[in-house]
Amino acid sequence: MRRLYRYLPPFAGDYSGVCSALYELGGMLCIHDAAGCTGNYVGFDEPRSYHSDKLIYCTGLRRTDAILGNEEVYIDKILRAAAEMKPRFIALVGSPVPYVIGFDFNGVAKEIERRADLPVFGFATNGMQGCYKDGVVMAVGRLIEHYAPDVLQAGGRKKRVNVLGATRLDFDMENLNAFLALLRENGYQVTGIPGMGNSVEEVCGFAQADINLAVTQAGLLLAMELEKKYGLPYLAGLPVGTFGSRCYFDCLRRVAETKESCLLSWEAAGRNVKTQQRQGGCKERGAGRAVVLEDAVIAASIRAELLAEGYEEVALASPFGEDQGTKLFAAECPRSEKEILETVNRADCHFIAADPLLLSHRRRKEGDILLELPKYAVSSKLMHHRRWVYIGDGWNEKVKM
Amino acid sequence: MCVDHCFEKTLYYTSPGHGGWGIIRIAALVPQSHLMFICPSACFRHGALGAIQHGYKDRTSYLYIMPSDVVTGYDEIIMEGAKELLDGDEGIRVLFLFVACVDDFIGTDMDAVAKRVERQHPGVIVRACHMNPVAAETAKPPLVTCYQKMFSAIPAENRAAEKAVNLLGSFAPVDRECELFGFLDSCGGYQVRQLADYESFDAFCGMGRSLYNLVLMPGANFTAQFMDDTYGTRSLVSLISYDMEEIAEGYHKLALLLAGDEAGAKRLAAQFDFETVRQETIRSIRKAQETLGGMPVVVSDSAVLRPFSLARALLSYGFWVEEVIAQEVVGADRPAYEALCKEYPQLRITQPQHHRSAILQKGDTRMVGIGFEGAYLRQCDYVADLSGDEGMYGYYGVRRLMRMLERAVEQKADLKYMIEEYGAVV
Repeated sequence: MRRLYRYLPPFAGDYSGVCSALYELGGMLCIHDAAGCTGNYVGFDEPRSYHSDKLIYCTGLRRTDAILGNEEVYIDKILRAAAEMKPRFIALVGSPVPYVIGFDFNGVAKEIERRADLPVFGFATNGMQGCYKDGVVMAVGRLIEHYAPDVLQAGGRKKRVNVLGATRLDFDMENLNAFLALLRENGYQVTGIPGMGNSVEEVCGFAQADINLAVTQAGLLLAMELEKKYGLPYLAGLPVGTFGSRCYFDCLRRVAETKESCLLSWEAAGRNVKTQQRQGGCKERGAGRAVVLEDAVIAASIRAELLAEGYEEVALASPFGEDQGTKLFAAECPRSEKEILETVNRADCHFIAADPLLLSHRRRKEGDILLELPKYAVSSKLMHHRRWVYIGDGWNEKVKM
Repeated sequence: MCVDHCFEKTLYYTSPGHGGWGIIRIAALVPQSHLMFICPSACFRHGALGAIQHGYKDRTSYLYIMPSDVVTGYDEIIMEGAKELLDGDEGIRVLFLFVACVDDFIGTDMDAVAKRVERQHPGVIVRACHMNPVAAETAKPPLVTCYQKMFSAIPAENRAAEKAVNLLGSFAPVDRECELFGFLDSCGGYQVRQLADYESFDAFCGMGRSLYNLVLMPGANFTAQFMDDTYGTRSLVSLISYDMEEIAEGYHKLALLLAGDEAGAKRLAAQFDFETVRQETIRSIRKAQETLGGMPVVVSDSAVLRPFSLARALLSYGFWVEEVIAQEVVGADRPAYEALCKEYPQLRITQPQHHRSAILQKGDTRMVGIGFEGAYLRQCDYVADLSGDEGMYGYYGVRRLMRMLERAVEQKADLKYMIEEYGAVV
């Protein structure tokens, strides 16, 4: 049965995506739920909770108030807290019950905004459909809509970039810092990292940027919207491994020169992958087939490195929902536990990269190479201690082919 | 010291120290049971991860529901999911079907669904439960109903006839070192039975044959009433306490229940050397007091059900309790709270979930926190890692708490590590 999950946990939900993307921005995040959804986010989807002074709250939704539509109770609580805690903005974030009772998030947000004299954003997330990725798109999209200028200020220097779609649900700080360091080394200036940066101004970093760097599916969806609206080109991918990084920065140079968006690949970089293999001494390897079970953009970045290392075929599988990004990267989208476990157990692949919780369900065979990619949106803090830096050369230190 | 109106209803802050036994972990105590959650996918994330953390993931599963199911209902999805689960796992003796908050607004007749599943799978006991914090402030919050459903799995043909006393409301087992065991044994060979002791469902059903129930927390009252009505047990409320007088009174009431009259109760009490136990407990209190040397203590409601009662007991023993961290005053704690208001007006009270608690206060951290949440909010250097009165009862509970306090001040706590090791509410 497609709906039965016996072995895997549900992945981080849409409301966690909203909260994760807004976490650092000085807002007051109010999850409209009874307790459990806030517990999910704070307890399992937010690695920054400890010693944090961020204003993450649960409205304490109760049955009678929900049935009677007694919204004033919650509006009052929010207004009292806002008056005392002085946030920059308020986000009212949905959960399953408000969805079922038809809570009007935008209407209530407008009412609070009128009375609090603060920007208030309503997010009709429901914890049922979609996943954290959709929440990230909603959150960053809404902030951009509110704060972004009508016209871009980029001066055409081609070296300013904005990182889109990075949250702690996808990346730890070590990987993000490695990415930023690589960008700096290659002469790029980062204008903002909405989702992991720490100011509302950074959310609109794209306004000063020449290129958006989409680092996840969420980032790609946002980048596509911004390209449509502002004509800002993007590159979707990450620099993973020595070869992959070369491929990445070649692609980035191309985007800067041509102002045409691009998805990371050897073809887009204008290089022949076979040449890379030969240069890397991989000619005779015939390393076989691999599958990477991750966000499609991250998985595609790993594929670039693996192909150069000699893998003949690298399949991408994203369990985080089908979207334009997965289609563009031709990623499979396993939609149930059964399909995810089938992917983990693909007999034709001996190299499997995925979160350790997923890999633990691989029926091991001789010669298997299982590469752990701990991901907070999957295994939360349970596997966080096994994180490692796969961006840049960090990959090569860990993955000795 | 604040008065009642300091307990405000605000937006709830959830600190990293907030946690304890949630209904999933509690229900999983029923041996050979399986917990199937029928809920929006996000609702079960903490449950599944907590189950992995605490080692019972193989006994939980979930069926996710979609928005369209809210309109069409999901009875048939449950039937199908239960069939797949039970056909593939013959070791399941009890299946708990949990629905989440959304079902409070859909109104699935879960008892009827449970009966249908039971009919299709003879030999499996099926019970419908609710994981619905949206009903937290009703007369029957999720913990109360879930606990009753757990015991309702014991077949009704069991009758209270065996010389045993069930402990209701304790999730972690009370250690055999507790004088309760010795006392009950001295009363004619009564056994102590508690949920966490059992590894097989058949053995667990023995709790339906015990003559008595000892109710250790108010949330178990409903279950005790159910057991009295169904199996013919007799129940006595004897809440976990750290107050020597209240403990003595609890044992007196227990003796009275077993003996049937005052004379018999006195005879039973005389057969057991409570005085030695008391003296030993007093010595342990003095020793802990000396070790702490006047260091301030913060009592948290994450550590005990009745933080004001504990604070009052500690103050009466001579400890310096500086603050009680409690979200509300539960009914059974009200007398202690009211007494403290009069006797110790300087005592500070803080609601851990108040919106202001999101900002950690700066101040002297050289104090002992009893319970993780209070320790986190005050950033206490020293932490007694008690949670939810786990394993405590009687004089033994006091002695154990004193040992915890002594151990706590031996070295500064790595609170983050302790919290992570313990795990959040599941």
